[in-house]
Amino acid sequence: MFAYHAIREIRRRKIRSIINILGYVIAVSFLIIMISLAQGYNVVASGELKGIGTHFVAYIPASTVCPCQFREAGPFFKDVYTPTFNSDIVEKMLDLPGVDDAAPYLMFKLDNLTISGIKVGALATEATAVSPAMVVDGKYLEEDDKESVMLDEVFANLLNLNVGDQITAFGRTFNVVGIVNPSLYSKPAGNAHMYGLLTVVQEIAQSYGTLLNFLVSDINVVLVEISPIGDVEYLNSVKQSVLETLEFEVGKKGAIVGYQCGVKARKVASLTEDSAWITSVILLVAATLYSLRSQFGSVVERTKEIGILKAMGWTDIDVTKQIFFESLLQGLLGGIIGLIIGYLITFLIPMLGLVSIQNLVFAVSPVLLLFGLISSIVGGIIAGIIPAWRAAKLQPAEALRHF
Amino acid sequence: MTTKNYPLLETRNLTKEYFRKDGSIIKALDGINLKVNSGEFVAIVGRSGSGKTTLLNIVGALDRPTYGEVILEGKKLIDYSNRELALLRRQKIGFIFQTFNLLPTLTARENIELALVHHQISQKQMNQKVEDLMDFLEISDKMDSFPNELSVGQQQKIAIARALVKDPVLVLADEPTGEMDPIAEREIMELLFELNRKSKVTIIMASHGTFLFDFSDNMLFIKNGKLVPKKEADY
Repeated sequence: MFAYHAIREIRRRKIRSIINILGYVIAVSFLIIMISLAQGYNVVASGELKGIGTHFVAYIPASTVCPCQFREAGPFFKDVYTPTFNSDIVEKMLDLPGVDDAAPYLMFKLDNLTISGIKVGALATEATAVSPAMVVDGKYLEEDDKESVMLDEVFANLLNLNVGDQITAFGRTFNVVGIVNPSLYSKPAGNAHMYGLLTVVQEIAQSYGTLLNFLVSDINVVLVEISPIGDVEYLNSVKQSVLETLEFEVGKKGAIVGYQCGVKARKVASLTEDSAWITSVILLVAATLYSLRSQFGSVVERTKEIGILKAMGWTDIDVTKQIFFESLLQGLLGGIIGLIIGYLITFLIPMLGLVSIQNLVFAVSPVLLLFGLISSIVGGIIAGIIPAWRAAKLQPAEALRHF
Repeated sequence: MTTKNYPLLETRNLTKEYFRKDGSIIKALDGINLKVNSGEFVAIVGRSGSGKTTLLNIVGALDRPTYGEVILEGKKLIDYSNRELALLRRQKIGFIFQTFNLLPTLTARENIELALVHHQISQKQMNQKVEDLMDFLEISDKMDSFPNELSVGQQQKIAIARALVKDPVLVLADEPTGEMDPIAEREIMELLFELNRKSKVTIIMASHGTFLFDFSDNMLFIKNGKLVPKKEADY
């Protein structure tokens, strides 16, 4: 009944209805095309940008022989036991020209098990060691996760451990809050079996240092992020200044190892997707507001008709349903047409060679389609609420006097 | 139908005031008292602006009085909620307007059916009622026509059918022939008179014309919102 009259009204006011529906069509198809395009671009861009090396680690390589006396235990990095040094050096490196960020890092080995202590929230940590993007299950460590660790995916699979399980290692019991795969986007700075907060790993290293009689200070690696500007010569000069600072402060010969830049590249690429989302949402809101205004105008124009319906015994709820259904139907129609158009165009773009990026593959996610449809329906609902309420509140005698 | 001991419709001291922006008050109705028995054809005669439409709107539960009471079938409408008034209009009151007020998007048949869509009635019964009525009104051949394809007389017949199809106890006609030529006017008046006599439906008709003398059981004259004797009437 309501659907029948809604369709009649939509057909009667063709221009108005077409413009309303068109608003949803444009917004939804734009959403599908832009997000799919951005996601496809993201994959390609990540691959392309992996080769840019703007970050590296600085450490003091020492001996493959364990500094301990009773067990294989000690600060460890890149297959060797390494000396440790005070983390104040990080502050000095941060002052160097060209250094964007520097973060302390402590990898500790006990027998065949390694744990890395990280500074959460540091760009250098995320770019070089492990980042939230590498979490394949659970969550990334937070600053108050003192009794928690993230496990390397291979290690977790080997022990059949999952998020929510507990693991006993290094004389402590940890909650597993996340499973990570640091090799997912870039070559990481030394894979560890476990990742914990820096302060926690420092405590572990100190307790074993005291127990097994080797010296432990603070950290054994500094993760460094260089500003991604300038040429290779410039990058090398910054690296050299970092190395000199390390060697000067520690008094031993240091080493620098550069890494690929998958994480940062992905961050840059993801900006495109973020902006596509923002633009699409703005378009959807604009379509909804236009439809709201249009529906409101329609109610004003139909004031007398609403009066007639009320005179025949339609209740406020009946009138509300009628107006609301019209708006909802327009949102639904716009959403469905938008999905079809967006889907077709997304596949036509690479077929027609409309983009110059090679290897660009579009895949429209079902979740995105669902989101597009739900958004336009919600838009239709919002656009219908106020006019429907206004129509319901009209007094029949007043409405009948309207011309 | 009217309950034995009281009239179908009664108004007591019915008053409607409108407030102007400057704070002054206009009295559209001023203490109207009337009684209408079941099956009567009552004419309310008065000039434009005398209060006829306001009276019909309030009696038909389209508007509420500022003071006074409307009592339909022994029940005071002042106690009714908006929803209850809507249901009352749906079940018991049919309206015929001067400008017909047909919905332009619907065919003649659909306009009539619109009065029954919320009634507990099968599609078959609905079709039967609509077709019988259209036969009686001699507009069966216009079932699928849209209002803009019909003459004013035919449009008003559709509006009359819409008012009657739900078998109301009361039909309120507000200058139903106001836009018609004398021949069409006569035809519609005879039709309403015949309906009143055959189906015993109570009709209250507002008009400024004296031709109602030929049809009505009871004529009331309204002037400046008050019922007045014929000799004081101004029409």
